[in-house]
Amino acid sequence: MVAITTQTAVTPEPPVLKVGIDLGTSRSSISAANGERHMVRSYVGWPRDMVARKVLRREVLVGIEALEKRPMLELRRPLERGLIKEGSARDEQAVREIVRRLLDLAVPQGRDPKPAIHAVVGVPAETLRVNRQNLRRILDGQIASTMIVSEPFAVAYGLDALVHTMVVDVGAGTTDLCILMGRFPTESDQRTLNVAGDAVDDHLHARIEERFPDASVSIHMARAWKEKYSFVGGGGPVVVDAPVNGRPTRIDITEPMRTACESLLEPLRETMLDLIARVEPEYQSRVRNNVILTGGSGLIRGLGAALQSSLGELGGGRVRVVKDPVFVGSDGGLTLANDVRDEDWRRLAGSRGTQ
Amino acid sequence: MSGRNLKRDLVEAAVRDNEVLDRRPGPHDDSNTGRVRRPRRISPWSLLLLLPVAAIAALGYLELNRPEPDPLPEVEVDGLLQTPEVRFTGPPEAVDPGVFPLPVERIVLDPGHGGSSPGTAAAGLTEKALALDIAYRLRNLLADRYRVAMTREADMNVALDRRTLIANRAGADVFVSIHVNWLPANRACGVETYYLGPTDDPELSALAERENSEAQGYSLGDLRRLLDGVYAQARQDDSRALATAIQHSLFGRLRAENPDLKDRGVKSAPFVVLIGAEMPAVLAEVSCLSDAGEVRRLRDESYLQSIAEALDAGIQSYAESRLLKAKLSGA
Ligand SMILES: Nc1ncnc2c1ncn2[C@@H]1O[C@H](COP(=O)(O)OP(=O)(O)O)[C@@H](O)[C@H]1O
Ligand SMILES: [Mg+2]
Ligand SMILES: [Zn+2]
Repeated sequence: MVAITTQTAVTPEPPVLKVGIDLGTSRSSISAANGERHMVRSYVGWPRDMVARKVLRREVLVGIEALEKRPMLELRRPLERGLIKEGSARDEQAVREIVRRLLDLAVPQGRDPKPAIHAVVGVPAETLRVNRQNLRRILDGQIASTMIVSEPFAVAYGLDALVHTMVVDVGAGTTDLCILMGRFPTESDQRTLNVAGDAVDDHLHARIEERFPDASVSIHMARAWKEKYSFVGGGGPVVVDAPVNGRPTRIDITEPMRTACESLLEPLRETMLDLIARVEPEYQSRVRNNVILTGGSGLIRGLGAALQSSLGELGGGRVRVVKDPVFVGSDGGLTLANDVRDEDWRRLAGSRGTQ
Repeated sequence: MSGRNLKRDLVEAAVRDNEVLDRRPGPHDDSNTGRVRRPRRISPWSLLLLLPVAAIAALGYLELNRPEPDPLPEVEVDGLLQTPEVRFTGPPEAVDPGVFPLPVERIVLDPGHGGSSPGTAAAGLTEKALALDIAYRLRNLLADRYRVAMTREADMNVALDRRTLIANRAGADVFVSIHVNWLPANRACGVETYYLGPTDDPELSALAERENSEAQGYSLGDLRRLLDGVYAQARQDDSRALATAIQHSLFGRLRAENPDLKDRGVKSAPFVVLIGAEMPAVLAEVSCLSDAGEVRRLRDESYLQSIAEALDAGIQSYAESRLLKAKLSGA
């Protein structure tokens, strides 16, 4: 108890910086009220041994750098399948490092006092369901006050698409779907699928190996090709250079690309229809006509159109694609952060008090 | 519904959703039964207690310089740390908890201050760090008989009202807030234990007002009004009994190590951190940073351990007295 020293113990209230953070399975981003926006890959690596530590001269690497140096690192992708492995100190630490990096990027350096961070953190719906309390603790040292929401909710909030809307966020590790009906989405309004960009990469990689057994293609090459040439429906041809028996050779991967990308269609279609079926009948057609496709894998050419035509079996609908999905989640988080009242931030903080 | 109102409602819902501490569904989910059940099996979390101290230290957010006692795997405020069987009054299996609930099963410890609120400080020691250290030790002592949780497990801000919210949601039977005092220059160090109640002592009013300074926007008048609704409840007797047991034990044990220690007694004062508690709740001032001798002792781990043991014994004696009372009243 502070009885006598209170007067001197008073510390001035630091300035507040509001931010939106999108913790993604492969990319994480931050949008801050000071105008900073940054993205880092959701990879964290620790030097494997003394030698690696000496070479890297760093205790921990985050983002693209970690990915590049991965042979020397114990590499983690903490949200890979949309869940933080429970009790895994490494994964928790990795989440903390990613957030630390995002904040370092967004907070101007060398300025004192450091601002208190008020953050809306968007995560896959499944993380929200299973790991929220855990996540709160993980973030506690770095963020003064935290609100954790599902990523599609943050997206919808930012786009002001809160009524009769369905958000389909096709990322890397997870696809998150959420129905917005003008109320705060509950568990039954949301779904997380483990079918997304990573699954397409695996699929594509396997198909290519099948078709060209002599070509040596890594999963990273497959992903890079996908990000350039992906499509569903009509498209192609896709011809790329790959080492075959050590020699660069042109290979046609049109069919592998199509099959891999189209593997998303069935699970997405099924889940969309299932969620729509839960909407009160009189609103279903509005929701069908208000589908927002976002996430990196939402950029697969023709995906929006294919999903739209699968709504045809219910009487039609409209799918709009978010063109630049990288910051749409963190921007939405920031919009939400700005709308939370100060007193609510204090409550979420465990609060800093009056001084 | 207008767009603006809709957004406001959604934001409010999001805040509420984040405030309600997550309930983990599972075999121990007591959310519908009201009454707390003893865990029948050892949860994986308790096994994690065996992990080396390094685990949390490596996470680097505990600012204590002493090695931590066991790390807790997660701040699972609601699920509580599920320790093995309660066994402080004979074989618990002989007693049907529905018919004869143990009066004390769940304990929530509240290390005072934290984060940007250091509490009192002297010569490199801070109240927030000492309170956390003692709470960890106390938890380890209690954990073989009770289910124990803490309102914070690291150096972080936790609002005063949130502390009791945590205890309420956890269905705690006892709430103990741990603090270290600062007394005016010429006063010898003493220990004192508070329960929630009015005070006419101007010194205590001032004290409570300062201690409550972390609580936004309450004047002492507001507190009085809040308290009016609270005093009537029977738990004030239990709180007083708990405070008495703890105070007795604290003074009795610590005097052996500090012969000059004063018994400052059991007092009531309007502390915000106690107001929201739905269970017997006390605030213990276990030492004084204003006293050079105590500062020296507080640097010694064995003294911190003694404080924890004293609190443990106090809580134990309270629990036993409640059990006896329950038995006598023919439950
Ligand atoms: N232009 C593109 N075409 C197809 N897929 C893409 C494209 N750009 C990125 N991706 C894929 O999008 C995924 C990353 O999307 P993102 O929304 O950032 O995921 P997450 O939120 O899960 O981290 C990766 O699987 C990546 O390969
Ligand atoms: Mg995403
Ligand atoms: Zn205090």
